[in-house]
Amino acid sequence: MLGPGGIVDDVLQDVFVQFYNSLQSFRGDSSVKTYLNRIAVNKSLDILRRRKRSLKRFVGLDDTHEAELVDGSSSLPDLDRTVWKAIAGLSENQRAVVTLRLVEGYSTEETAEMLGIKYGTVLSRLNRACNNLKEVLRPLQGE
Amino acid sequence: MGIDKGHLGNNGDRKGESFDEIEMGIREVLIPAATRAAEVSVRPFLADRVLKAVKTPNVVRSGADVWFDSLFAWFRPVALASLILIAVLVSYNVKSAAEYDLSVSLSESVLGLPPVTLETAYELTDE
Repeated sequence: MLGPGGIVDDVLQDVFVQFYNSLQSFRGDSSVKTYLNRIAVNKSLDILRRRKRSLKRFVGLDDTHEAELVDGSSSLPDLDRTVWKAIAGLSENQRAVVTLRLVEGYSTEETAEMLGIKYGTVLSRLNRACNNLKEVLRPLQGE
Repeated sequence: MGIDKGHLGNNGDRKGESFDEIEMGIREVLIPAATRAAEVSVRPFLADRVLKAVKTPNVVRSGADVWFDSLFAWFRPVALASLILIAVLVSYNVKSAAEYDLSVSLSESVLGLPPVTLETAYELTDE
């Protein structure tokens, strides 16, 4: 969801620390994996919103997709840089849906529950995100 | 978030919802990219760092937390002093209203409002 970069490691560490601190309030209604994913998604959304604000302020809206890739992507192949640039073009909410639904493989219902949104909202965000991604990613499929 | 490589090539998720052709195509590209990004982004000894952070909780606190804590510390004495001041003013107002025999209602005497009649309202003086 955040793409490559050192911030991922910080978020991961924060997720486990927060999970440890909230163990007493964890009622076991959902699986530990779902609970951890929910914390991670919320933290990632916070970071993406902050990142967007600062990039808009300092870089300018047109260059934000490229600017997001500066941290941590230099060691990745060109194919991955194209993928992350396409992901950076999505809104934070669309990224969350794509991550949970397409990458993690959660159902639409589980994704809706984790993000605290309606079932139909997940479908519409996923549809918009797929429409944005398919044109960019089509040449990469099968590589 | 961990990347479950087992999803690759799987045409449906755990609730039996299938992915359409477009979604499958995007998954084929996204999942390997996410796996490689996780490999370069997560530094070694994560478990050690988490344990160290857990053992030393609340060492690094955000500016907002410190600010709210100082507000809470200030709130109780300020609220108590304000209540005492309000009680003193109310008792003074009630006592004054009784002392000068002002024909005002209870709320007016509590708030210390002067009696306003139609006659005084139309009185054209410089007072």
